[in-house]
Amino acid sequence: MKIIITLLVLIAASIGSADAWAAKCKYKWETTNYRTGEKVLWTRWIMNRAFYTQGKPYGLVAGVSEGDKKYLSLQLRSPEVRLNHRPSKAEIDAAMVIPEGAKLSVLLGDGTIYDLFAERHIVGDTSFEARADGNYSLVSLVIIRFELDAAALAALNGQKATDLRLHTPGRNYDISFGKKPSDKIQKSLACIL
Amino acid sequence: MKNLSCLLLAGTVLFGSEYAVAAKSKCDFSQNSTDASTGVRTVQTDWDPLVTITMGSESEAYGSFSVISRGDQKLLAVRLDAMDYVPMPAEFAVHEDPTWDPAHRDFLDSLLGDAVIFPEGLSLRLDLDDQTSLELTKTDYQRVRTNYARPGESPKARTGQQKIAKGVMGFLAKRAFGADEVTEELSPHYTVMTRVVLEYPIDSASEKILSRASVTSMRIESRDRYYTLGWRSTKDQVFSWNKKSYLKIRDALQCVNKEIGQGGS
Repeated sequence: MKIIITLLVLIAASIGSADAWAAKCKYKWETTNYRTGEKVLWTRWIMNRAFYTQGKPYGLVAGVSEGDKKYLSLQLRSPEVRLNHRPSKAEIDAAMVIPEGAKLSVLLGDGTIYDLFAERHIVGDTSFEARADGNYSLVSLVIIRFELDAAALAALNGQKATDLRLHTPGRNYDISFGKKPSDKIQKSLACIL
Repeated sequence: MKNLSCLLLAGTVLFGSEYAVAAKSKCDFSQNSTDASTGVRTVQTDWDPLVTITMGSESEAYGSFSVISRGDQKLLAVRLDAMDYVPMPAEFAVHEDPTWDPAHRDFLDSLLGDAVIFPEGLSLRLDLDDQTSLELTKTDYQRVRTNYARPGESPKARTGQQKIAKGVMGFLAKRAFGADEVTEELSPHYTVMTRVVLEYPIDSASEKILSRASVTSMRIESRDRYYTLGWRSTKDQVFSWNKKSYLKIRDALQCVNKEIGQGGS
């Protein structure tokens, strides 16, 4: 009997703490823009999957609030590109370019698609390394912000975002989120309201 | 008695940590002198190492920074130790004696003199914790005298990695693989080793931002590539175990300003 009561107490405590955790907003960055003085909040990054695997883009999403503006931020790591020559600076600079207005299609849980647009032109950070087989590999990392107006906030808070497609001139990047990350995206966006 | 011991212990710990913080924020200078002929005073903080975590399998750039006040000018100096990998041109054999082939000699000379160049106008990008960045621009042309290792040779300048291999990681590798010695994987490329000190003027607008901002990482632009130094945790979730890992540029700037009597706390 004692064991059962102890177990029940433990379960109740764990459920309670999980609820408390879920309700609490945790921010990765809680600071001030050094130029404008506006308050800046970045929620924690939500990963589309646990581990980086070669050949697939790796995406993370965060909610951002800066002053009165709200954003969905996408951190994208491109799949590794192998080259048989040392990449030139022009190749490094062109490896990941996101033009202003680049479209991010968000597939919502009810099957509708909501389009967001990149805030500004951005060039990703691309690093390369020499491989033991004599070739080179390129990996790019970029953080893009998509402004959320009232309608977009309502749509993304009403339905869970399950898949993202980033349209760029060279190629499209598809990032799929499972059930748990989708839940977390919704909670993150609630934290910047 | 127990309570008293606990209080004493807590007091010691608190005092110790306060002392540690105070010691950390102390200002140390590698140079603080006035040139007798020109009358220009130079104040330079001690070099502060930049911890670098890269996404790849090995870190290719190490460095440290320092803030300089030279006369009326403030500068951010970055000491860069980097390795670059240049492929062997197909027309030359790796073990061929270059003495009799002018083209081969020219190629090797280019590795020494022209492999790493920092022209004027190139940028140093500082990433700030408000998720914006600040760019400083190089105002002078800098050609770097480099050294190189041939394909398959051990690069001598890889001191940082050798230390790791001999230290904790070396011990763990020995335990894991049962090897007596951790052998270094040799590159099939020419390994070009660079050691250079780069100086970037800090204008008043940039100084205003840097005196308040936390810098998380920096990206140095050269003629042919970029070098990233510092924590990449701002961008890379995989390595974001410590969000308070800042480069102490703000502190160094405050130290210099305090020393030359331009305020700072």
